Amino acid sequence: MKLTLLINRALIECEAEPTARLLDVLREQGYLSAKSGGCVRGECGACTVLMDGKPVNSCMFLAVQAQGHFLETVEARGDNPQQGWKRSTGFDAIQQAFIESGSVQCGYCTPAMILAARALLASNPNPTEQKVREALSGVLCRCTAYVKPVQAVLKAAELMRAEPGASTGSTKEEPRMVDLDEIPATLTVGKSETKVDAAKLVQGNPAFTADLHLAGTLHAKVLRSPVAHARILSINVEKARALPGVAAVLTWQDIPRVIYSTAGQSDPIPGPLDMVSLDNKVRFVGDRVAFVAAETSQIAEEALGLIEVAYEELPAIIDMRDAMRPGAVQIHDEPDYVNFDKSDPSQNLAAEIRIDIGSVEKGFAEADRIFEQEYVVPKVQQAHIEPHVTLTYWDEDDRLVIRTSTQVPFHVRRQMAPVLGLPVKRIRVVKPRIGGGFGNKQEVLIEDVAAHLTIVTGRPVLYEMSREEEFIASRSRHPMRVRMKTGVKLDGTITANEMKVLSDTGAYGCHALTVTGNTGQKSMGLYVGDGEYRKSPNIRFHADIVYTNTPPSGAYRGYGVPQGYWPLERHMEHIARALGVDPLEFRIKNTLRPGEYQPFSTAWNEGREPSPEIVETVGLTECVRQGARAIGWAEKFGNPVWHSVPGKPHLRRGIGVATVMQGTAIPYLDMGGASIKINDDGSFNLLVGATDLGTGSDTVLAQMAAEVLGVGVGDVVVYSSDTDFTPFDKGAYASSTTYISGTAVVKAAKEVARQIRQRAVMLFADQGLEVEADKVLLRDGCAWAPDGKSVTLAEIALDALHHRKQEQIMAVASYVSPSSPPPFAAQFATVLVDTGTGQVTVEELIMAVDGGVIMNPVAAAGQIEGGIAQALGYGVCEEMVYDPHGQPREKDLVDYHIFRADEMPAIETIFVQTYEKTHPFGAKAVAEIPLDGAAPAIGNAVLDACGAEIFNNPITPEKVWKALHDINKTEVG
Amino acid sequence: MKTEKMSYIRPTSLEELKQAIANVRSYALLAGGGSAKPGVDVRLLVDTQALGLDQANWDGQNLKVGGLATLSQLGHSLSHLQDFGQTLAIESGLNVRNTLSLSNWLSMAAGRSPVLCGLRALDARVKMFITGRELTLEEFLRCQLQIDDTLVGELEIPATRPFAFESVGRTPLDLPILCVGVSEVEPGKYRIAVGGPDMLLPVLNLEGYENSGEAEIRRLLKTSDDQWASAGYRQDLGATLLARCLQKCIQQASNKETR
Repeated sequence: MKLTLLINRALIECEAEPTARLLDVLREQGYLSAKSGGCVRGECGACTVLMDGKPVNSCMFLAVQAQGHFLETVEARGDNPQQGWKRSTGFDAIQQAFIESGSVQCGYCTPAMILAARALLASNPNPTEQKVREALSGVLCRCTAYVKPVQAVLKAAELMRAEPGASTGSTKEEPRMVDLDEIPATLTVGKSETKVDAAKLVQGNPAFTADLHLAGTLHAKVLRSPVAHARILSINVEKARALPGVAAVLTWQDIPRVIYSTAGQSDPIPGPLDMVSLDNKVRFVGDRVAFVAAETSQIAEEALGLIEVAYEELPAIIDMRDAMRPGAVQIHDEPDYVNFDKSDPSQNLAAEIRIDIGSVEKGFAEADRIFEQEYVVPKVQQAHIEPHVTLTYWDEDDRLVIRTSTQVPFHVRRQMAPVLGLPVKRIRVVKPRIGGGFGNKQEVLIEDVAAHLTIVTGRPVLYEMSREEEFIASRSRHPMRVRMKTGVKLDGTITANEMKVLSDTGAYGCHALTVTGNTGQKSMGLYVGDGEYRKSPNIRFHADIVYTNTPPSGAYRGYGVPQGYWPLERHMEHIARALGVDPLEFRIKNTLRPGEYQPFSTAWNEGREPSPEIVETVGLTECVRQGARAIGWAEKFGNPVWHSVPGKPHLRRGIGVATVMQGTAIPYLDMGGASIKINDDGSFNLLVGATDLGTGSDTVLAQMAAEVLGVGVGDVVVYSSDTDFTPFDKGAYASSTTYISGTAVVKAAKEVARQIRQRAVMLFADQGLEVEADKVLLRDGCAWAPDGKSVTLAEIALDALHHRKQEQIMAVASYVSPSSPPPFAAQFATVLVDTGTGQVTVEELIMAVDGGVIMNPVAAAGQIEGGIAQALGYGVCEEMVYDPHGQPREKDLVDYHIFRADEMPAIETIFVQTYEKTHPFGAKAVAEIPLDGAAPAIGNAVLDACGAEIFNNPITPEKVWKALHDINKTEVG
Repeated sequence: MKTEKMSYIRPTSLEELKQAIANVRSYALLAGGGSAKPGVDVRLLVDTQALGLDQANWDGQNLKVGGLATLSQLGHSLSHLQDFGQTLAIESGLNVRNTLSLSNWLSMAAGRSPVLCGLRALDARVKMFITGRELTLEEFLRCQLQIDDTLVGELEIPATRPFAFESVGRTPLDLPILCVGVSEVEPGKYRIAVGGPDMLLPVLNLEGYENSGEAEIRRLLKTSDDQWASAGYRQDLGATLLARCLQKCIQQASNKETR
């Protein structure tokens, strides 16, 4: 039918089905700032538009209903001030505040937040923080913890209220910085530069995978298994194929069987090959059964319902403890299964790890007391707001283009080539903007679906997962059962520390070995003991990683380490309290110090040869000191007055801590590359294979290049991740981009700088000035001779490109590191526990982080804040639960609750800067460490508040209630 | 849902609506006010927004809210009931509250809904638009609506009574594991709704200030085990939350008297 919509003050006439959603019509008409989060109950809010000035979800309205209303999208707001000859009013105050405050991370929900803010400020120009939070409550953000967006809206309100020209101060709120080492002065690095990608994202520019509309694009859907374990006896697709508008239906009988792993990792994949695109067996509820491509997604959905499948159901393993029991059904009995290391499908064993450092038996024998306890950590979801999405098409040279929301474009190309029957050279992978990934897009998860359908139809195919599919069929954090055994002297010296893990990889073994190895390496490596034990620690880490008939686990920010720190830091708290030792002192006494080996580096390296490594920078003690001061540890810990709430005897306050360590990149393995070339105006193109998934890595890499080249960040144009154009990079994982890719950028920039200096020498010579190249200083866009004369980089570029001895000033460099210097952090929490109901309210989370020298403090603080919010969910509410038949409880972002803006606790970040000499600017990593400490710190705070000892996260009200009842029973007994 | 040959209307009156759906009763989808049966061919899409059902008015002690008013409008109208705002905040974020009509929301509301718990405690009544049928909210929730009678015309809420609400979830604004809504129908007479479990639990009526209601709410929650909580926990929680709600209601009544 014909529709007339009033969008951004323009009347738009278009054709649409009566039941077409407003979101879809807006996007078809080019208003691409409204995004799909794949949800059906409107819970994510990424599709927000203003209707008659109010924020509503365009996915919940039919387009016809919007007729007669005034619609506004973010395209109507301001725009980039640089419009060529056209005059522009520039960004509006809200957009500007979002840019300057560092509010933009992945940017997927940013237009929605800006619109929500606009609606608020139109009716309330001077809102309180709580009102801002309520206004943003309809938009879920997984990156920012809402800290900076709330700051941005308050600042925008201030700007909008101010008289024209009045000074309102900076929008940026810098985190507190404490320098432990001397940090060399820099001009660009270490400054909170505005993100290079913020401008496009506040305008809602078509930056994401699904924003590219190609004529003739088909829409893909996947038929998924309703049962947890079964053989497919038959599939009848005749009716589906006959449905008008269906272009292709594929089953296991239609495509070649190629065994592979979906884990996006360097070659060789450190895990079993146990997956095919489509199989004649299903291994979890949500496993793939058939692919459909159709003219519309509605037709594709309808076709799924016409496919008839006969299953022979098999016994299913849902509880990981059943996987290796004698007689257990074998989940992977396919003959083409390819083992890695100690995987053994006959035992449902995807991987096995046995690490023994020193002798725990000796350490236990020397201990005064031994503490043992089992802990359980749940399966949780990354919950990035942009779902997995891939667009595939044949280009004009008949090469397959895979435009995909991935963290690992080069791994996608390499790993997909055999699956699709194409050589690597016939595939181009393009990574546009990513709307969050958090490890879930380190998986080569759906590229094959769209690609197979493009191959069979010859047409572009778009496959975008629904929110339900994200829950039932993507990846998640490995759930584990962890048994701790620790020997200690009465003075608090750890003599031996043992962690035994049963880890559940789900139906496929992607990341099974490496995630679980990190569980031990980065948690158990922190506690080495004291005195003689410090020189020769006794540590054991044993793990069995088993298959079950649940959705596969995989990579999730933190990569196994949060699973280690929940048990470890709860256990350490328990020991410190049992010994009567101050929890902070106990931790400082036993943790790693500068100049000591990371003990696990002597024994394990993700399935490869270990490379012993001494840790040079450890700012942990200072982190503890700074965090303790900020949260008021001295005033609160052990203070009965602070713990109680006057007039409310059922409320108790508590304070807790956790100390943590992560890693920075994978040594001797993962490589990053960069190329830099100069342009006519003295600006530079920086091409990197690294993938910015909202972390700000494009900005940080530009800062490093700018620092070396003596220009502003605005003179470095970053383009990342296109396998045809950018150098190889392993991708965004293992907290490696700043460290590995950054070093590659610096190497390339130094070579470009060398060429610039040589050319400057020629230009100085034209002026009769003799200058040695290494005496030329690059700064402020110029090359400076020692006597103060200068030539601009534009002059140098024009000379090199056009005038004489023409050459392209450019360089390519790559870097692989022999080191993996760990970042450290101290996480503090305060909570309020209702002992009558068990409800826990987290009031404050403060993290002091040693991430080396911080390249961009505001952006790094955003990383910490967002990570803490995810860890907060891990602590109190997030988990994926299955019934005995493997049916999931959580299928959307209502039942799987992630924190909203209007319920967040206060969050603060402190950076303790150490100078890590293995990086050109002293950096270590910050992206993953905030995931590690919040849950155990909250657990310890709950214990402090009311004595409730919770061994299994998340700390739900019922668990607290039960623990309190157990205490009461014990006391009564 | 098949959508072949679908036509669209936006009626402005009940008569126009009735006329439009007369021949396609079970094939009409009332957008904004209810859904067609799954799998049924939809031949007529009826956009209900011009029917004037988005108003809120006070009629003596009762608030009358049109079925196409949004949850946000309901919140504004009941802003004097402090605890009712909490039910809405927990129910959903602002966008959904701005988007969902009461009619649409009621067609989906279930046991876990805090707003439903609040409205049940307040003893809201429902008037269907097309048939003019009047039902208590309890009757509405339990009846099988006819396909051509899914549009709620009006919700009538006795909203000047003392009202209290308490909820426990995993986070401050997570859907409740258990929530309790209480309104004081008459002095010393309380109407108690309990939400949180997937299943819809009967409303309790409590009489007399000396009755804590603990035994009744424990009995009510005896078999409330589901995937979110055990019955034992909910029983304890129910008793605690009910006591807090009653305390609040007494306080409100006392404040009212003082004024």
